[in-house]
Amino acid sequence: MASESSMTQTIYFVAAVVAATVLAGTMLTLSYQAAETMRDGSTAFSNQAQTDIVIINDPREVPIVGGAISIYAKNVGATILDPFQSTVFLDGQAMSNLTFSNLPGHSWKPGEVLEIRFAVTLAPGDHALKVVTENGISATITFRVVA
Amino acid sequence: MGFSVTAATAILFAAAFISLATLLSGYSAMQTNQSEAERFVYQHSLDANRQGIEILDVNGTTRTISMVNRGTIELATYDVDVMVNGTLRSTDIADRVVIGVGNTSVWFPGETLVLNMNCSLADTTVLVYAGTSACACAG
Repeated sequence: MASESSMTQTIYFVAAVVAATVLAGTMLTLSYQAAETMRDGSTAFSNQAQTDIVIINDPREVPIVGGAISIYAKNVGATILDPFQSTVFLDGQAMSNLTFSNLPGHSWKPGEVLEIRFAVTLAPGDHALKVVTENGISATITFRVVA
Repeated sequence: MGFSVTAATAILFAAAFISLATLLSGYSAMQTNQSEAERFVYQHSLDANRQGIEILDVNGTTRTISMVNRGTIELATYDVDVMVNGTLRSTDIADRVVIGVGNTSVWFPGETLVLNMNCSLADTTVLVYAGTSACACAG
């Protein structure tokens, strides 16, 4: 009889500890995920808020040499950007085969002017060009091509 | 039964304590990142409104560009970029001299900065960009 009671007690004990451990594990996992979400989300927000670029071309005379246009974009924010993840839109169309120069390293540091070149055929008239960084921050310039 | 409840409660309390600490650390990191971002945005827009330059002269003979800091905060002389006829010519800046001071990296409001250029400035359009928002053109 005593042995049966002891066995029941042990089963209760093991069941309670297992249930508590499962609950504790779930609680810890959820809190860890919530903390990571808060940390990652705020880091992304902070990076985006501290990113800023500006196109410093002279809109009166955007250089087009040998069928390739040169765009000068300056990193005026506080974050280091990856130029190779930038996207350029000309009159709403994404441009491809971009080449980047004027970079001392492979990163685009604050204060540095990035030269973006790509081949394009432009009709005379007004054109809008937009440079978008890896985290969605953009700068736009409107310029005129004279016939 | 009593010992089972005590053990389970102890495990749950420990887990709750660690969970709370984890959440607080995440919240603290979030607050730090947010305040850092807000401080940058505020300072960045304040600086942008306080910057301004004006080109006084573009001399094709002496190959110099003179400009004055019309803003209310200092600019860095090395943070000045020049477009000549639309092409970036910052690497052609041979010398950056603040009149009355000489070679310095700080360009205070009211001071005149003279850029000695290695490229021709005759019959050209010039655009100068300084700092994060100061811009002026001539020609």
